[in-house]
Amino acid sequence: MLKRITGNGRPTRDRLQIGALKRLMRSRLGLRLARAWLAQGVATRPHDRVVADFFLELAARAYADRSTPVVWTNLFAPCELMWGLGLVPFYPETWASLSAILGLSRLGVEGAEALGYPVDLCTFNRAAAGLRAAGLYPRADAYVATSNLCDVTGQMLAGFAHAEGRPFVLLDVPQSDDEAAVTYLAAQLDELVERWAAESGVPYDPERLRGAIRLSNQARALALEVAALREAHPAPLRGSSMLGELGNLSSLFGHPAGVAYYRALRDYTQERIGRAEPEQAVQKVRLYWMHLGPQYETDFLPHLEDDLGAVIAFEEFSTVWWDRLDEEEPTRSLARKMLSHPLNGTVERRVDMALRHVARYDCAGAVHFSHWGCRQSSGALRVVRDQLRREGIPLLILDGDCVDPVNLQLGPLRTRVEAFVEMLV
Amino acid sequence: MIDEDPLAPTVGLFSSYLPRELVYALGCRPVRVFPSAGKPTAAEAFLPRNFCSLDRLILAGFLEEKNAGLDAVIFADEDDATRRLHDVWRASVTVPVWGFVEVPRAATPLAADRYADILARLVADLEAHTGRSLGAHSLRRAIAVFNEQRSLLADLKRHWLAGSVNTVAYRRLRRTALTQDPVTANERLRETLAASEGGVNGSSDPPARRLLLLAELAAPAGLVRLVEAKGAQVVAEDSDLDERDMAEPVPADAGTLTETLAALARAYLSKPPAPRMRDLSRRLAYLSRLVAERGAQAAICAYSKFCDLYLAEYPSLKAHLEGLGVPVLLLELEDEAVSGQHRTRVEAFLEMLH
Ligand code: SF4
Repeated sequence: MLKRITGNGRPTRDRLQIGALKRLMRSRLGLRLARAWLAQGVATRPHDRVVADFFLELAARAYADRSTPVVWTNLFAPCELMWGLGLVPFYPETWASLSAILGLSRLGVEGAEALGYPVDLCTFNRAAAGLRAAGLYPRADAYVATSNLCDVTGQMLAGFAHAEGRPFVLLDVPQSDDEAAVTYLAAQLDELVERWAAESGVPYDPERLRGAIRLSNQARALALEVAALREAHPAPLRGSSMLGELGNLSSLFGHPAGVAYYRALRDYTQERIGRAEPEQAVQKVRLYWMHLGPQYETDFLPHLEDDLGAVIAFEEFSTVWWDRLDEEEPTRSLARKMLSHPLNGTVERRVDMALRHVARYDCAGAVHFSHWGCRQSSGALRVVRDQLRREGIPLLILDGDCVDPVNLQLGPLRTRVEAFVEMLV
Repeated sequence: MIDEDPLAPTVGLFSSYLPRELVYALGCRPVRVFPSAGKPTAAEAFLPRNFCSLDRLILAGFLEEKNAGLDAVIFADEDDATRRLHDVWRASVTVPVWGFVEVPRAATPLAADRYADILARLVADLEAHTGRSLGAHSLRRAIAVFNEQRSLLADLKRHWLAGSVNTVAYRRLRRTALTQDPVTANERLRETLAASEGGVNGSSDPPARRLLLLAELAAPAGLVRLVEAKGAQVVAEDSDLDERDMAEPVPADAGTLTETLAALARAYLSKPPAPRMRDLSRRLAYLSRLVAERGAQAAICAYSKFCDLYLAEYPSLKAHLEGLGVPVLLLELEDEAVSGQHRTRVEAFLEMLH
């Protein structure tokens, strides 16, 4: 495995290493090695192993297997539709997170700069653009993006599609969630279904789509149980280990691994509660975490949790926000799911969710990790902070970078969280 | 319609996809919102420092001047930044929001139908705000006024490209068209056209290097002055001020209100695409046409710093234009001023074109 970056490391990798990695990723052997490595160190809990297996399987299908079309998409497109259509979704931002875990994000970020991506764009996307250019991402047969929540990914995917002469579909997601908006979005999903059937060579099978909806509903029910279990005091899970939930939420639903993951997570959480053995031993104050967190190895989160005793009791992106999907109206209910995302629409929706979660998980305060370059999450933080403050909930806004360790100023971050936790305790 | 009624509410619009005709037909003066602050300082308490600098400047202007001469504004769902600006606006600016319009991002029949419905809802909201009601006839009259403006602007462009109107005057008049009531603006356009009739520039200067400028709302005036002072000639500007402003007449000679709204919806969604549409094929085809028609030899992207949609499109645009033999310079601007560093880069770029 390549050397991991920690702190402010600035690795440079020679071409041989990258070439070897490219070959490894496209071979079954490479994937077996990765599985063995994950089982040893990173994926030790049962649910982590499910996810590791899922992503490795996804990688096998995207990188090594040429039998199923690979569709690159962003995190807010409905994965149930991809699974239901028999496609393999590939999420460049999620894989940029994985690259951060592997210490490869700098390589991507530097590569993006050489391609002309301005340095102020979100590093998830810049890392993705650079890794693609380095040949470390798989092929794409088509691209799909949503217009809401993230401008950059959609624009970048449109650019890739244009450069490769591949189809690109933009799902134009309204900000309102009334019935007219549902109809408009559902019609686009229907068009997408028809188009794939015509272009991908994978025939449309309504039963397969219904099956994906069923699996999604099963996973949803289990995920809701996990959310309920996390109300417990002391908090059963270490919140820092849940900061990557967005990747799961965007890709597992509609796939059998989603059911397996949430079942394993539910059982594990229950067991921790039953044994009175929370993952985090010292728990002094409970926090609600907004947006994401560093995906690479850093001392920051262990300091927050273990040294200061702050518990991330629940995360914004662990929220299962949507209603049960309707098998008989798959595209319409997926449209509803997309439109009801708490970060779609005005900021008040996001604030309402924060208030509900702070109360439900008995949090004393909230932390927003502002990922560099993410305008949708950070743009209206002043309003979020004021509205939470009005309800007596302090919000700490931390500037950082989820993907590029070079942009994490550890010293000032530590000082600020120390002061915040001290105030709350 | 207002026909120069001084008491008509002035309504600021945040997008070139919002039909001014509709606002005008309801007795309001529709104006495009331009930044009025020199620096974004006043916005710093409300928007993060790495937020689109154009939006920060606009907000700063309203925070400094309270209402900046507007009675209301209408937002459009342009991008993440506009959505968040809309959130912050409602918490910090006293000018009321009369609408947040979900302009679709496609020119398909589905999107046009959706937009027509949305415009009908906007009409209902505006009727509630203004106390007036809109009929097909007054909407068609408003469309005729703006169609006339489009025709005058097309003449003005011909004069500018022929050299009988200089770039500064051309751009000033275009801005007038976007920020004044259309009857007055049309009058000024007619006067200018009459005065410049036959006055084609017969300069014997060596042919200038022909530049395409690209910007969101408008390229900064200082940049235009700089490039022209350095012997280059601006021959096209891909911005809301110029090429992406609706140039084609809206066909609406007859029909019900619903049909007229549908005509407006179709026309606005089909205008030259902005990056918000994510329709790179159509956008690059339109830019290629512009380059070919005007003989542009180089391009300068004068984009606001942190403006994601434009900046994320940039690598594709650069590759495409360079493929056409058109070198590209990217400037990321914090405000309207052209800094010393930007000036140096522009000068070096123009030198390179020799
Ligand atoms: S962090 Fe924000 S800008 Fe970056 S990919 Fe996610 S939503 Fe988009």
